[in-house]
Amino acid sequence: MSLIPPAYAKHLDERRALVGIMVIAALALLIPTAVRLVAFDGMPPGGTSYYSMRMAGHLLTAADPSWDPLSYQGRPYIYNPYHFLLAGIAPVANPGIISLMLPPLLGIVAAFLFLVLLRRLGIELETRFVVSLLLILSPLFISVFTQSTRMPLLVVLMLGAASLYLSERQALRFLGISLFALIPLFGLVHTIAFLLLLIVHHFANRDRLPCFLSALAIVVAGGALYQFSLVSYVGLSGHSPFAGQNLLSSIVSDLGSEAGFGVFNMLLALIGIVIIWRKKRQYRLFYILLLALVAVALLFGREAHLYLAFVFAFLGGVAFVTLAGRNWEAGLIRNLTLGIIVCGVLFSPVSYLNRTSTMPPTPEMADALAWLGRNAEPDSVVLSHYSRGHWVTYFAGLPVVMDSNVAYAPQAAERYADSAGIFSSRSLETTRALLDRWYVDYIFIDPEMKHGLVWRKDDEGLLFLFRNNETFKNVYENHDVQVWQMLRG
Amino acid sequence: MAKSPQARIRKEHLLLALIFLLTLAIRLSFAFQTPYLSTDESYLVLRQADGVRESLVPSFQDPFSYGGRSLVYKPLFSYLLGLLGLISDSVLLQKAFVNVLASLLVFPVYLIARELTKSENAALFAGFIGSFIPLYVARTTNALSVYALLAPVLLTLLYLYLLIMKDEKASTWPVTWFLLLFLVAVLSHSSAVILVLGLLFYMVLVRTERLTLKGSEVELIIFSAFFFLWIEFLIFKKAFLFHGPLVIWQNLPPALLSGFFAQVDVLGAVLAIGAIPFVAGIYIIYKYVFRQRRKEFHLMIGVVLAIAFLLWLRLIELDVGLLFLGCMLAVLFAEAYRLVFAYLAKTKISRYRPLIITLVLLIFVLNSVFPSISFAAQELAHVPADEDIAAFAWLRENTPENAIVLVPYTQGHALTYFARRKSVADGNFLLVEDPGAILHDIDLLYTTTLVTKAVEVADMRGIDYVLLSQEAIRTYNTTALPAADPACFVPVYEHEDIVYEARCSLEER
Repeated sequence: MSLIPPAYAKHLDERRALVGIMVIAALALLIPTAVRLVAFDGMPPGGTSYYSMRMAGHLLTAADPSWDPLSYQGRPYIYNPYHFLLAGIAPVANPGIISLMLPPLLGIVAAFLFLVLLRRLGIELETRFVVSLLLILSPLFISVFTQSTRMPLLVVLMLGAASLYLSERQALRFLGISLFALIPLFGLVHTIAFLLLLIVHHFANRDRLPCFLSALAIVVAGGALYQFSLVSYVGLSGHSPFAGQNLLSSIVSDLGSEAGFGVFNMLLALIGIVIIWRKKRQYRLFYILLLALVAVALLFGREAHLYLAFVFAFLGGVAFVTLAGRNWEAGLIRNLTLGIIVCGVLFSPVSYLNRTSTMPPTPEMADALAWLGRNAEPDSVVLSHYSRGHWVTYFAGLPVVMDSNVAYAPQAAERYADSAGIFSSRSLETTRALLDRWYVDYIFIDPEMKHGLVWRKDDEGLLFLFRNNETFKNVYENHDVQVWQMLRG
Repeated sequence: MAKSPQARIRKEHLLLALIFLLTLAIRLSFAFQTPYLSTDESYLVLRQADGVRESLVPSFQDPFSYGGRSLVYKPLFSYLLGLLGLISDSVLLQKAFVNVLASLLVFPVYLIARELTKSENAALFAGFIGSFIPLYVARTTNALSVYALLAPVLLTLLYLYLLIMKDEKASTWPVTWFLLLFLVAVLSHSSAVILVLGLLFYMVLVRTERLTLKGSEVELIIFSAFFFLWIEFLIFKKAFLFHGPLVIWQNLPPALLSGFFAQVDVLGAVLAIGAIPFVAGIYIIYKYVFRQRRKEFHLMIGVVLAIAFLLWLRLIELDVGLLFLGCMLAVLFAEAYRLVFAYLAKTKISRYRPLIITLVLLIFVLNSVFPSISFAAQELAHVPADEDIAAFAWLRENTPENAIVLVPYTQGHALTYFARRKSVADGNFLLVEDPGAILHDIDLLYTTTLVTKAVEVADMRGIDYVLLSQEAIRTYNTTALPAADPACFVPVYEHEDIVYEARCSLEER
């Protein structure tokens, strides 16, 4: 696929491109890791990392691994290949260090595989290099490969399997198809997204029909089997209680999204769309794919954004190479424009790196929860903001009312509504009734909750009711991290 | 005997200079009537300029606003005023400087009009009209308004773009000056988006009409768009993270949104811009959108469309949109003038040309100059009352330095400037959490009769003093604080304004 005549980058060759991409990926991913090691006692950022660590331990030690006794006060465990990987490595190394180091390492591998995949797709070296750069410098890529979740493993699996599938050697192709069978284990959204990619690729190239049909059959069969098993095991997943959040803020990294796109990346992608529009007949399948992935992202939320990141990186790369290779009338404007684009593209990841390096949990929060775990009764239930749920279960080892893992969670919508009611109500009677409904024994509060996440003022809602020392007792306080005990007389 | 080209040129230049001086003279005659400023925001600019004067760099920490907080703003304008303050810190000097800047608008309007029409008379008329856009005069005469800088700069940028568009020799000086002035515009205020969006609309119009766009034009437009976006995200990064897309509406509380980003009222627009430029400009837009194709006019129309688009989506304040719309219609008026007089020249009444010109001038004076003067006079009524100034001075002399004083938010900046005390709220809502709740509490404290409620609010906001200013008396229609209490809200300054000291706080249970 050659869209643009090569115009520059005489010094770029395959080896330099590969080394450059991997070095830049390493820098982008290991800088926040280094900051976490030094300033946060090596604690990984985000909530899901702790869920992964806990479940890896759970798989190794629990008598009944199919039941998670802590999340949502007890629920069936949905098996996750990544947890098995962590559990496998756990006997060899510290789980915290693995959770911190493994995602960036997988990110470097993913960067390598992506470059290889683009070569297999016939994309020119210059475009490949720029596309890969845009991908690894996107906030979404950094977000995925700095948190210990299943996503890094999934991306490496997909890229590796796709690279093998596109190989000229039949044995490698069949190995790739075999690996496709693992994709349904990561969830419905990824199965659907992968099928879209597979189908569009086949219709764009129309070769190797048996391979395509085999791959299709494996993924569809695997996906159907997995989903059927899941529904039999845990039932249908309820509606997410987090729907309706501001769309722009949830997709644009510069507007606060934790896993979003940079503004300049999106702008370049838009220019890329305009550029390849000239050959719209030839690329109509690509446009269909783009629209389909946007629809998937709108339906399934954050997890599907990842696929758009690859597409945006490709489009952005096309745009940048076209702009750079163009015959500019004014050299000064050319240099300024390209410089600004580079600065703009770098702005988002730098800004994001700064945020992700200092993301909670903090050592103070970990200490508070560890204290709670040592001093509370084993089955005590803890209430906090749902985004804190995984930290509570990991550090304190106690059941929580709610965490951020809402898929197939029991009564997720009710728990969310009741939590919001507890936090906002100034009526002791109402709050007590809601707390009793979920058997809450402790309430965990951190500074972020007090300064915007839940409350804005010191006497808002539950914070006001804490003055009642017949119902609530402050059992722990450290740097604005508090643990309150619910007194039942 | 025909006049020499040099003599003709001098006459136009003289007339232009005369318009500039006349405009300046009228402006200064109003501005110097009072030592105070008409808008509260001007006092924020003044404080920022004072900060530059003291430390030679703009400060992004404000110890007074909302009790102390971070600021996010574009510093160029206050930086210029601060540098001026090195010569003298007189407010009158700064007013004079701002009025000089505002009066400079006549030059780019004249140059653009001359470029479009090739008619000196039409260009002079356009320059004259551009100097007396009522809303522009009102907003920039007795206020330290950034639009006094931005309007002339944006119009000059349009002129430079016209030169680049027509330049066959590809000279570098228009491009260089365009880049420099664009930097000035982007670092002055986010309203520079009008130019960026205008250029994009122009590009679409040109493509639609199948006209040719030069390579240098496309490059400039791409550069402008990227540069503007980059600067916006660089400067407002913190605000974007804090507020998300609400930054565009400056985090205004919902109660104030509809006032600032109001729907366009046609009659109000005509009054604000002036009847003649409004009608003439609309006609020219119609002519060059539907009947004729000329790239230069597509550029002007592109900018007008951009303003209309931003107003329609309520992405810019109504006043700001109308101000720039007025400037653009003043430019387009030149073409209407040329067309009308070209037509008249073919008729029998062409011999009455001087009379007709005088008549048009008279109509213009009645429709634009007099309203401009009237608007400017009305603005003078918005300066802080002498009684309020006296109260501020008392606060400065008689209260602790870290005291927090409650005034209506519309006087927040004046309080911090004159009294050098912390305010509860002012009109700058960026990086402020829940400004709606703060404004609600201010209203509550000025209106509630329940002492406990008033004490609760004062306690929560850390208020030490409450100033019942002339502004508060008018706004809340009261002559005393309703919750005034001998123990809790004690009058410590009693003249036309009253200052109450908050002496109570809620006990802990």
